[in-house]
Amino acid sequence: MDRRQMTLMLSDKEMNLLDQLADRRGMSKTALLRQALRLYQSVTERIENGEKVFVEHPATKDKTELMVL
Amino acid sequence: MKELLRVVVLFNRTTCTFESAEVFQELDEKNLDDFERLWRPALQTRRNEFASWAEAAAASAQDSHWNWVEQAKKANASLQYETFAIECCGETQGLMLVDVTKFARVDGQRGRELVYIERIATAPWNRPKFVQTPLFKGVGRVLLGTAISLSVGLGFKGRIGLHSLPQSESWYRDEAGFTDGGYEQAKMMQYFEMNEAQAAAFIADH
Repeated sequence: MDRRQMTLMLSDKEMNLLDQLADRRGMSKTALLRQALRLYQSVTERIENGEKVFVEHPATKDKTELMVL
Repeated sequence: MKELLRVVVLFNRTTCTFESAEVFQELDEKNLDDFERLWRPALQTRRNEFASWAEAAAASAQDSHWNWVEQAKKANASLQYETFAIECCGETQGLMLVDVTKFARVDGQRGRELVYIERIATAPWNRPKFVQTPLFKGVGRVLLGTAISLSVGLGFKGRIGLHSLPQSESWYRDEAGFTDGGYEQAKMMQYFEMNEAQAAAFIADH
């Protein structure tokens, strides 16, 4: 697969979050960022296709619609 | 762009020999042409022999309505999907479509990323219930191994999941070593999932 390189500048806060998330998900930072891109594309396309994406509270079953602008 | 991932062997049931096969990521015109020219007419002819889908499924024509050309288009347009093909003797012997944005549901790994096998199929002439003398054995195993390798490569540690047709449930559970995740009403199919250890065992055994 062809690869292209880019340099990503992150703030301390962003880098700390990336470290924490990668640790929690058991993934490398690169793998996590790639997966975030896939998920963001998936959510964006679903919403653009008229679908709704919800987050449901496990106890109350309250649903919050996820919006991507 | 279509990329050669690895070279494997398939067992030729008619000659009782192993033959070299190639596993590719992403389908190309050759794979889609094989599907349109060789797979689809055979599957549709077989499907038309039966009144119900259940009967056709029992005769291994359960996927006669699958359109791999559309699936390939879907995969090419999105990072969400990946397609794979296995070729041997100049023909496409198996196809697979996976979704890499799904999450595990089985206890012990619930919420973790996995590779979800949306569609997996061996060529009609390799299916024991489809033809009297099926040609190649091992296409499904190779494709499952490919899904596990993808999962490892993406950082998902080998986790994979799929929904099974009734006639394949015992193979996934008893032979391949998946955890039975229970019946899913929405899909009307049984759900199966493999964790890191099960994936490692599958690769070691197959």
